[in-house]
Amino acid sequence: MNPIVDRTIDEFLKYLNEVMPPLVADKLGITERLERASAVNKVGIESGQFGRFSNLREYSSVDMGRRAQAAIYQSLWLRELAYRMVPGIKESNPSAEEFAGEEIEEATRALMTLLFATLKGLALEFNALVSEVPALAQLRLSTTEVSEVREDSANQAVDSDSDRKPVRTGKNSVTYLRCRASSSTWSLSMRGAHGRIEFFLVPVLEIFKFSRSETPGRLKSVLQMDDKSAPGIWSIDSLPADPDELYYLIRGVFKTLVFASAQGLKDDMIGPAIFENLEGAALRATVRELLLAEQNMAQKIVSQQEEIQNRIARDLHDAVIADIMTLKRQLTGDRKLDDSELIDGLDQVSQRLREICHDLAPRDLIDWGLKTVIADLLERVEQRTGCDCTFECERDLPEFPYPVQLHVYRIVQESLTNIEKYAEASRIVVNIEVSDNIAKFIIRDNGKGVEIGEVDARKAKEGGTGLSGTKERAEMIRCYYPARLRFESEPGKGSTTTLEMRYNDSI
Amino acid sequence: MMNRIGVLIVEDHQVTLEGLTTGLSREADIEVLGTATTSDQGLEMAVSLKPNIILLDLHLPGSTGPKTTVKSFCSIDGAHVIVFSGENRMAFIQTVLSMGVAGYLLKSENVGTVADAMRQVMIGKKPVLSAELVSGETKVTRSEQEVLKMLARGMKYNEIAERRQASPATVRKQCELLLLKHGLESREQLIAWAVQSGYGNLELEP
Repeated sequence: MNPIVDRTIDEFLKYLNEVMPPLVADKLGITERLERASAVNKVGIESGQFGRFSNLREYSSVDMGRRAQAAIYQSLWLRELAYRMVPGIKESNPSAEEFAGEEIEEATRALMTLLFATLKGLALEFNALVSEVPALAQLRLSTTEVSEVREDSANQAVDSDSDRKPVRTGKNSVTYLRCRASSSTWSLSMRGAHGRIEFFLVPVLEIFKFSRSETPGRLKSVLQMDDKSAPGIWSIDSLPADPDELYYLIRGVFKTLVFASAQGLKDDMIGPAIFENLEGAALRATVRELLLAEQNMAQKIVSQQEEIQNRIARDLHDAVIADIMTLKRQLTGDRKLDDSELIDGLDQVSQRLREICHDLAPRDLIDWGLKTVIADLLERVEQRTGCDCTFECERDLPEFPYPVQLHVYRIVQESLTNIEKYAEASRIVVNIEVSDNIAKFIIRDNGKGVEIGEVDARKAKEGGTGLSGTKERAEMIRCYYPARLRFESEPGKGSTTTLEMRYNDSI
Repeated sequence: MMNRIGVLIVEDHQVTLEGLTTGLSREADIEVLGTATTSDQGLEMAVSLKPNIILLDLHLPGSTGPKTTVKSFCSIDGAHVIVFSGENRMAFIQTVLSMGVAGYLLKSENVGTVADAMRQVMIGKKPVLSAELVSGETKVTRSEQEVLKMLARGMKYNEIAERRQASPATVRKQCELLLLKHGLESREQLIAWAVQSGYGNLELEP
């Protein structure tokens, strides 16, 4: 087990428990989740398994389970907690009255705490990496906890575009929440107040006079909450931020800090060797992460294969064999079928077989492309369910690489299957919007909707890695394009699945 | 004879090919100029033989897929393409039609119908579809029913689109498909048909 990861998690939990303002924590339903997470966490560690992630249940070796657990901790777990904590992503969006004044301050504190915990985790991990290389010892990072700092407002270097002013606590002073991570040369300073969090990269020598050192030119990134039009939602560059983006934002600013610090070393003391070492260390970490992810994926693939085979067997048994037996009974029974009834029956069987084949290898996708195949998918849903289905796609889709097409297709397919199974909808709309560099796939229904938590529960109950793995598929699209998958639903209000890809600036 | 219809058949299934060739050759006004069993061979012959009509199977060996096949045959000057295929799913047929083919016939058609379709294409009726794909045989889907009800009440595309929270283009497309399916030619005919079929008296969904 990776002690750094463990420590990070412990720290993280501790912070969340202690520092998180109870008001916001309750409002976001985090307190309870946190308790549950800790409990599961404990069980997972004690048993050497990890029940929370059902795909790990089958890990035979304890060691492998632990390693996978560590990998998941690093990536998914932090992000998932982040997910729970970012107000904009939670189940129901608060109204403007519900989320004003005090709540905004507390949400700011909550997010600052989360960001700092993540930053601290990164710093701890980084320190462990550089401690393996003596020449890099100088790069060790230190962190300063989140605290309130009252400052003289005369020396503010706020950017004038912002109409958002920190709370004035006295005649000439403002109060910020502050924290930072520093090397011996540079300091990443984070400050937040009233729904705005800013990241500055400042020379260490200047951090004693924060306000004057934080010039607009040193501003690396801003997170802002728009309390007017979208209360409770944090945005980066005025686009709502999802947990992944927050995570990458933190990684991004962290990288800036490390690179700036290493730059200093390079010029003054050690030379290019440090970069090789640094990159080596980073590379090792990446490779380790990838290996773990791969093992995890391999496990997933194996159980998915099993699941697919089961499903084929079930489909063949339930549908095809049953249909043929019925036909046979009718042919040998008292009332003979006439030709047209027989043909209808055979048509049904062949249609069903075709669907099964199609499910296994979407040959049509290769032949006809995404647009046509999705239209067909919806048409078949319409035939099966009698729902009012509308397909909207005004422009032709660009030629995406085949794997992307396949993943998109599967995601749409899975969403439709779920609607068919659970939603009791009378209307389904699939909408594909294409602009010059963004493709958006929206699947909407007017069914009974669902509590987001219920979806997880359902997945757990059905023992699913879920054949679908829509989330994983969206991750795989990210190998080609930046992509985002979102599921929104509310009881009684239907549900919406949105997949967005930015396809013109591929990675 | 001066104005016989010159036909090229591109089809990889031998029995079907022979049946078509023999059957069509019996028609006085049709001349089978040649037959091909692959897409490449077909394209070559289409250029050299200059047929009026190319009867085209969708799935040919050695081709890169039906979409490409249809596209390349449609780009040949002076030839009308009639697709002859077992594929009866509407989404796929629509895609083929949108690529500019003159007709779409199912493989279950007999030779006489195929010959008739060719004659219709030659007098400018486009696109010609198998009867099974048109009217009676195809069910009107729920979303089409909704559109028909609104049309029958005299609502305009924009109003229908707004009511259904769809874009006008989508509604227009649905109506075009309805025209095809019911062998109608104009929006006015469609409205008349919707009223006649009693859609105007049905309740609108909330």
